[in-house]
Amino acid sequence: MARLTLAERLYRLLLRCYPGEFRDDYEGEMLLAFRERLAHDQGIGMGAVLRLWGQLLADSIVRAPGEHLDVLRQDLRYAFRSLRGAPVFAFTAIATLALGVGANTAIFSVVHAVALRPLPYETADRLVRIWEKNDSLAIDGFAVSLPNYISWRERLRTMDVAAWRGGSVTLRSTGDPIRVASVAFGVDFFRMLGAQPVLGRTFAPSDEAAGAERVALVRDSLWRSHFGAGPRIVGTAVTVAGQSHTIVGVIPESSVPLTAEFFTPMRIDPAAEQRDNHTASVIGLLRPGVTYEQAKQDIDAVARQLEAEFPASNKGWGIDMSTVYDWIVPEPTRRALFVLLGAVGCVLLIACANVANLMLARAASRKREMAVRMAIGAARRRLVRQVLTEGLLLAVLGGTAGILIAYWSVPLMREWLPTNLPRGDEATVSAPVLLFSLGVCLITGLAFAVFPAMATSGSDVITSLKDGSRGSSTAATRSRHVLAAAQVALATILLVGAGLLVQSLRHLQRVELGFRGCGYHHRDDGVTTGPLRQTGRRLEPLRQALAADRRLAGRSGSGLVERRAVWRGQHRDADQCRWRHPSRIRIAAK
Amino acid sequence: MTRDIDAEIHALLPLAPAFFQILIALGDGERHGYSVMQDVADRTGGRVRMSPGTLYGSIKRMLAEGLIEELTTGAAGADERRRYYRTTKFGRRVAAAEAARISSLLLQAHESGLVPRPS
Repeated sequence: MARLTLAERLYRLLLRCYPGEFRDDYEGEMLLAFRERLAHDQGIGMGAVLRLWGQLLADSIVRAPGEHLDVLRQDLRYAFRSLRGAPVFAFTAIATLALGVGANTAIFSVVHAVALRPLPYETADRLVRIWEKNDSLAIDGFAVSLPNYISWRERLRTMDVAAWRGGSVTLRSTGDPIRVASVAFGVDFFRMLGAQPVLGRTFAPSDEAAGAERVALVRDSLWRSHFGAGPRIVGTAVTVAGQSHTIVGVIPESSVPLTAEFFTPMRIDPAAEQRDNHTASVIGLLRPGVTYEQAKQDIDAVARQLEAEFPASNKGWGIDMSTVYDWIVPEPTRRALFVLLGAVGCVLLIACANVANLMLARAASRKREMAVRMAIGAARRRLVRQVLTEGLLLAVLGGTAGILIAYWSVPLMREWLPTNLPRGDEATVSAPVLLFSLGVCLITGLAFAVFPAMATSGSDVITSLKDGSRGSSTAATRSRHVLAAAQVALATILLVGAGLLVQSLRHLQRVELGFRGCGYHHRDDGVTTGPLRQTGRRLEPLRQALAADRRLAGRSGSGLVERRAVWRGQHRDADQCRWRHPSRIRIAAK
Repeated sequence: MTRDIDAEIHALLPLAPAFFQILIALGDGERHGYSVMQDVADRTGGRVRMSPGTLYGSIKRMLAEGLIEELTTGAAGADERRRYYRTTKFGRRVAAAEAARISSLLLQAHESGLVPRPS
């Protein structure tokens, strides 16, 4: 072809959007047709030339991807046929990948739910959690004294603060009394979180005034489980500790970072509170434009003022502050989850190496077939693409099976997760998790198909035809050795990690508890404290049950405790413990 | 195994407009790509101007469907740089079936009074 003009060079550039095979077949013809059409349209005028370029651009945007899809369709058809012809290979590869992708999807669903998902509060990026600390007493992350909190509220210029105190209450309405975790908090709390009620209203400033009508809010879960999700709950009266409260609203499940289900406004009597009595938890909302550092400097300055003003109670007391995100999802939790994700990532890599090895072995047995296809005119890049397509098809099939495994295993995993893992119970195979799995599938497919593709591209037609299916090439053998070495290395990493974990667990089991913990049995009868305290006579049936239990079980002794000394799980806040484990009379027996 | 030609023809109907235009252009003999483009433009008074992408994308599919074939030896006076195409017997039958389908539609349009009959 004669030297190309600028327009022809430009058109050839546009033709790059088409698949290589299409260009091999038609590029020359298309350039000729373009040259003649351009000459014709130039004779008509600039409008016709512009229309032509518009058509060519549309071709590149619409038709060229269509041609790619066409080639992909053919490759997929070929790959399906090829896999159907090798069912044992296909099953092994798909099952291996399904386990790898399934494990990664399941663990990522937890990582996403716990560590990656944004907090469900409008103001999450400005929320901070505040504690008091005393370095000289080696106390940090400690509850806040209410008089200090009141001083902060009056003096802080960079943020608003709201306190809460947790506990548990016995709720009496028309049905059976129930024990629920409760929280009393400052009325600003909801405004700071930007929470909106499902029904009714949240608290108003007038609700915390002394003498105001006693009102309460319930969480969505309590509304459904105890009040039948009826709309008439607003205005319903419930009795708590002998005092009637009117329910004024229902708040959504994810609207507050607390596990309580029953909320009342916090009524503070400053005269009754002592500055050295640390009983409250505090959350802060940075005012717009204020940085975290500015807010920390501000509250540190206020703490120093209070230390100077009230040395008897505040000497040595300072401030601990973190973002609400770091409070809810602590850094060690995030680190542990990412380590776990890394471990299942290693499992996936081993699965990839296994499938790559299988594909290389298969490529060796198909060498003659490939050589024949090349000899009768199949382009080398087409064969490479078909191997890659086969790999991607395996990855998609394995990935789909893996996602099904994840759908089945994630609900099971939620049951097994530690109870103190924040937001772990919200793990689901959501859209971002599926996107992650899709990415894993594609990367996996390319990762294990690239070795056999390289082996295909590097093979020599004549040698392959002569050798037939006698074995694999040197390059393929080297690839398989590299893959085997990588598998051993990854398996060693996992083995060492698992070994260290077992060792840590053994050490943990040998830690001294400080009391004799063997030989005790615990029975939780779920009897609430409130009525028992009020009517001591009701203890009598328990005493009788204890005696019967002792006789039947052959115990040497038994007694009642109000709270267990050791809780399952660890909690950063003492008050959080109480919300998670409603106070009940418990019977301990030996 | 015998081919069910009628079923194959019906599976292709309605024919893509570009396919039908190309079959019409090749109806009176073999042509190269640009000649097909030119013929379509001439017959339609310039209203239909195929782009090279549409033309060669269609040619590729029509070759795969067996509607047209490429000449292996050049036609008399042919430009050696070009590739020439002609309709196959199957392509002619498909074109006839498409023409009948369109005629039937046109007849129905006449009968319903939607389109006036030619005087």
